[in-house]
Amino acid sequence: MRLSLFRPRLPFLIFIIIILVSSIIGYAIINSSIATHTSVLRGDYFRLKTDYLEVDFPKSWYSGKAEDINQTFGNRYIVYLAPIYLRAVVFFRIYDEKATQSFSYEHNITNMFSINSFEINQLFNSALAENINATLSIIENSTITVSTHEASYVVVDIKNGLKDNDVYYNLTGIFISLIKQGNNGKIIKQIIFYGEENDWNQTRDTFMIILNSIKI
Amino acid sequence: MKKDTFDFSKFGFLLHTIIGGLACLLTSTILYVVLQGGVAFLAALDSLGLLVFDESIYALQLLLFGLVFLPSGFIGGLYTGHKVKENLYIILVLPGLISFILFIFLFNVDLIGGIMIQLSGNILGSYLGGYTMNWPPKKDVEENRKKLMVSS
Repeated sequence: MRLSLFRPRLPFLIFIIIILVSSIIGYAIINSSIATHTSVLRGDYFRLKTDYLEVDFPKSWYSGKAEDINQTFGNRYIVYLAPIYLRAVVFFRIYDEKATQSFSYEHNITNMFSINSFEINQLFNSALAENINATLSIIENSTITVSTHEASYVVVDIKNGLKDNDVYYNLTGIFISLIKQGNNGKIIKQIIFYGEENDWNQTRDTFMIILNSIKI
Repeated sequence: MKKDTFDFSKFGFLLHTIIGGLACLLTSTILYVVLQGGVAFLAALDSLGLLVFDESIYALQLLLFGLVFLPSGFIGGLYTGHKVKENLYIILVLPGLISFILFIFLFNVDLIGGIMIQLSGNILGSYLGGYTMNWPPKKDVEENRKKLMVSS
């Protein structure tokens, strides 16, 4: 006697098969991706390798990248990393030779410090839009070595610069910039790490690991 | 004299197609929100950082295709296929298409994997759902074959 209690129709079978195949392949790719990109030095970190940046970052951090490709003004590459549940974010911005020229001309950039000044102004202006009484203090202004290159860095504190659920918080940030000689001119590279003061302090050690792992 | 009246029955398929599209949209929305656009998979693996790698994005697209957009198209297709019995090969494209357009316009979602994943998932699911409702039972197929053999 043939079993005929449940005889699914062909389209339904195809539907189930497609679901199973896509789920299994998707899950397999994700797992192989975890294995491939895990940092050799730190098990709980991924290693991101691109043409313009190499960096370790925590596996659990939210991450993303964007490429702003423009024939006229040059290309800009952005990678951002953020811990979930904490109000802090790390940005990497790399301008190619053409984009460096346009950026420098447009914002009157002459050296590494002026890049930081421009970015700090941008952040402070956005803080002022939230709270007109926000105040900016420069905590530290010096140089640091990033991946064998000398870079300029500025640490700032913006009092009451962040509004969250109608409560004002202090913003803290470090802005690191370096100008490197490329094949056809200079290249600007920026590392920006800012966030709510307490959250920023909590993630500072992780940021230092990220910073020390960078290859630019 | 015969009175000119609008024959609603001729356009009934349109109503059922729209209802099928809305069912597809509702299912898409629920599944998409529940799975947080695919990010829930990575969060469960404590590997949100994978979002920066291209192949992980492709994997998420595949998962969204199989677990969100194909099933939602299937639901829409089941309803439309249950109510409409003619010209299915043309009509079944509509629930998926309606759901796709409304989803993009209503939610303005920046879908991981772009719009092709949703469009193809919804339409393929809709066809599979519609034809599941109208697939002839095996007994009928065998009887038809026997009749054909006898007649020849």
